[in-house]
Amino acid sequence: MELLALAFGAALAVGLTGIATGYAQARIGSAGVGAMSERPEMFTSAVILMAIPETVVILGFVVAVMIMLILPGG
Amino acid sequence: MIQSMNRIEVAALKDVFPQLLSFLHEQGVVHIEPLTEVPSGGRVARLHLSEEEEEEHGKLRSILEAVTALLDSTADQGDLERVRRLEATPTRELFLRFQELTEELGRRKARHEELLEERRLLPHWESLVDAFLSIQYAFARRPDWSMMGLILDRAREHDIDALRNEIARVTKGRMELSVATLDPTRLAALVFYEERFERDLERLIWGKGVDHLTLPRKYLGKPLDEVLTDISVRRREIPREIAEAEAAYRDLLTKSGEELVALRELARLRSKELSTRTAFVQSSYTVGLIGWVPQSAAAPLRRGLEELFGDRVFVSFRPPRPEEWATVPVALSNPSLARPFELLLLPMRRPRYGGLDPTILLALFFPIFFGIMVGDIGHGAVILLGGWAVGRWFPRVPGAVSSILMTMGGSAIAFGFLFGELFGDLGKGWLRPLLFDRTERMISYLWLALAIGVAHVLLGHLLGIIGALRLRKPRQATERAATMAAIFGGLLLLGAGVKLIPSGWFTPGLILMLAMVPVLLYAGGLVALLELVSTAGHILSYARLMALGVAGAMLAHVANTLGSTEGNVVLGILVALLLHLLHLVMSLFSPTIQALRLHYVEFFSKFYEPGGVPYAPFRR
Repeated sequence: MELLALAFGAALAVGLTGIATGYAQARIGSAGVGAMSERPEMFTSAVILMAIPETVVILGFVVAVMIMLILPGG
Repeated sequence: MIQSMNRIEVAALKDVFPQLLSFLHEQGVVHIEPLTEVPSGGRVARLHLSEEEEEEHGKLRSILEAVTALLDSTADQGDLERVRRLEATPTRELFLRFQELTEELGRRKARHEELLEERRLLPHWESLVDAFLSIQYAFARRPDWSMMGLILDRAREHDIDALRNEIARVTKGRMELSVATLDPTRLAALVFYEERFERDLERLIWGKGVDHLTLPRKYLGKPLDEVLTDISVRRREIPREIAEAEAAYRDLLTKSGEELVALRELARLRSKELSTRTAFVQSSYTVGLIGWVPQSAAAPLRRGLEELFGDRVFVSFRPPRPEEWATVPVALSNPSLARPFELLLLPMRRPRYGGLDPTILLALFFPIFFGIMVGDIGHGAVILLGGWAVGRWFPRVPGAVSSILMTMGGSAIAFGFLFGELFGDLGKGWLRPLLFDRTERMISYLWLALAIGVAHVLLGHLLGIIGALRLRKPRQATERAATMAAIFGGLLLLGAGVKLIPSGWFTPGLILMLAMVPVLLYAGGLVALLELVSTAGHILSYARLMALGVAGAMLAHVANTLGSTEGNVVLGILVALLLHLLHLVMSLFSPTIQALRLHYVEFFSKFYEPGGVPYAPFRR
């Protein structure tokens, strides 16, 4: 039971943060493309802005890895 | 590093003004400060262009715009010798030569574009005429009448009467409209109308959002089957005509291209000289200019001016005063190894004069971060070779791109040896990691990433203190120092908590942290406390070095595993190659963005003062 809870926790940590990052990137991406259509020189800034919310899923991934290392055989 | 600048003030007698302007243009070191205000009521006024000069400027601009549009390129600098030979030619003669060259070129280009447009429209004309053939319709011929084809959705069939009434209103009844079936979902309509109503009609049709085609007048009055035959003959002939028209255009372009580029360059230089004149002030007998030059260029410039103009020109130099720093242009000067990395600073605004240029640190840390994330000898070698190939075979790509790619590749190779990875786990068994295997010791990898984060963020704060002191902002310097001390206290606290250091350090760490709270409140208010929390977040953000590294190593492992499970050896190698290629593209993109982001967001926010004016000298 504890094993199941840990595995579920790891999945939640990476899954929910992935969804959150995807949501944020979708909003930033559409705004970035809009900005680029008027000012193509915004490309680099738009790409950098797209990378900002990735912190969330990266930290989620780190947490998931740490949980998995607790799992038997991890 | 930001170059030290000197303010230059030049005053000259008016009779040497053109020569002075040419000399400064030739030297190419003076960043001319645009005149914002000239005191009114005095003897000094802004220098304006005369009517003749304005006319000349207009001609030069038209040469510049027309040649740029014709040649589709602004990068080519042209043959400098040819530019020099043309320099003595007056603008009026240059303009005549330009008109001579571009008239025929423009005509040939227009013919080519016209034929391309006809080729695009021919199938549409064909289907429209075909639709009317079935109802045995005949085009009428009337002098001064034109013909327009409309394509309508069948669903809008009931709107046709309303459209007919609208067209009749706009053309005052001088129209005819016929409708036929184009295909099961669309209708075709032909409108004949008196030519003088063409604009009103187009405006009406455009406003209704209906697709329309204007049919060539040559088809008016012809039987429809003859029109169809004509169109099919044109469809056969037109590719040859397009090829001929393009060849004729390219041929003339090749013959006159070099001369046109030289004309464009000369027009650019003269236009710049003319527009620069308005940055001067004048009195009855003198002209004056204010600008900035790099300190290293001041002495040679003074010598040159004295030798050429003697006492007819007066020049003075002085270092900028702190209150002028906001307007001093910023020129970067970095060692050749770090210079390519100035490219990565372009998305940011220039650093302020008196602030810090982070290029050298970027050149040091960016490849390290990239290497930690990619960390594979094979992938690094491919990136290194790719960078070399870009420099060798793509002359239009800036050389800095090639240098940066090669540095990134070299760093990935070095970390590949540290982590013992060659295209993932292909080297397992004989390639031993010099540091650790990151897929097995993820926690060590995480600690490494966070330790780099602590060092990088603390370095940022240290630079923030130096920068604040240089810009004479003592409170900001105090705030940065207190944040550094609080982070250090936090590290002692954490280290003692997880038993990395003796537990006796717990209390000093806590005291240090708490002692910094009033200092932070004094120096930066509540915002400073919030920044302390965000600094902790910034350090954690470096965990991405580990996260992306592990994900990359796993992907390479998956590529090898999938390749080896295939029964067919060739297919297995192909699968592995494809997956590694995909991984390589991702390795190039994602770690680059993340390494840049760690600099722009986590590192630069501690010390970088943007807002500098880029140094743009008046030069050829």
